[in-house]
Amino acid sequence: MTTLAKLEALLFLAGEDGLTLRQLAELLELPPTGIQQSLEKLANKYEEDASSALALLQSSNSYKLVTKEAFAELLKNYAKTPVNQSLSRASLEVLSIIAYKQPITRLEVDTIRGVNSSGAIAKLQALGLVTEAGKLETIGRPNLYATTDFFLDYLGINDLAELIDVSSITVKEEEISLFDETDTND
Amino acid sequence: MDIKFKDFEGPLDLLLHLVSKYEVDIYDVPLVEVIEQYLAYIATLQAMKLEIAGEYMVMASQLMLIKSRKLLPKMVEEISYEDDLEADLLSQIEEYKRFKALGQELAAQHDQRAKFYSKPKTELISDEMELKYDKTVVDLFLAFSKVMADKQDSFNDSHTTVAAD
Repeated sequence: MTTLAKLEALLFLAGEDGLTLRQLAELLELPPTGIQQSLEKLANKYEEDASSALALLQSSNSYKLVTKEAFAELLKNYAKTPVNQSLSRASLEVLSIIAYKQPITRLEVDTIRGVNSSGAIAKLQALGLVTEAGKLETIGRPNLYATTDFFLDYLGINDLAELIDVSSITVKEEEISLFDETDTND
Repeated sequence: MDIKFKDFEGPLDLLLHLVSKYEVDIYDVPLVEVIEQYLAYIATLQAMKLEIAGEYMVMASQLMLIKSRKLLPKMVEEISYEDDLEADLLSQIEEYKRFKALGQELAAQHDQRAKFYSKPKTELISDEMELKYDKTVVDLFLAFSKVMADKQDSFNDSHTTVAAD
């Protein structure tokens, strides 16, 4: 029984839940740095073995045993797990607003989109992508929404900081002056 | 009309579509023309007796307010109120545009993640295990309603519902 085999067995049982580095270290009674090296070895082993369909994925701070990217086409019709399902445009808009502006109330999401978002929020909650994270201390005490750990897994990232930089997409704000100029010419 | 109304995610999306036709910076857009186009869209849709979400009507009244205030002469000492309304609307469209783009980025990022498949956690059972009794009636209720909501949504996505009169 090598460490690699033990890791493989544990990760196989954990499945889509995955295991964190700390959990693995506690179970195997080895230092986390050693585990990290073994995990890298295991990932390499899978990668080099052309007759293996498995790969190692790190998302939401835990390691998961998954199938290789190349098998996506084959498995698409067979497997329909929540993490592999895509979202509607409305849900995507709401999810991106919550992801970048969390914690945020439903009314603020509505204002940005210009349309009621309660349906989309309910759907995202049912999927486990967003959750209620306390209340805003104002009149009405509205719910605040934030993203969950599953959201990180859904995007395949470990930290909210890994989200796409907003500034890479935004248009510069300084153009406002141009608008005022054209207005005074009227 | 070249685009189905149903394809828009609310009035800001429609405005963004109209604004983007000018292919200039968002703050250079001739807003009065866009307002007229917007109202024309809404009027056509009403003539065709299509169902319009309430939000489109609210936006129509806001646009009419902006347009009518623009026609009135300006008070000298006041900070022009109509400019504020206009600037507010433009920044609203701009912010909506940003999140619409971000939504697409998230979808692309998720598509990459969705290529990896996994299996559910294996339920281990052994004799030494003891029940924890940390779940209540509320947990049971929430768990079942979550499954129901999930299924209902995926059903709605794949079926078109036609409401009776």
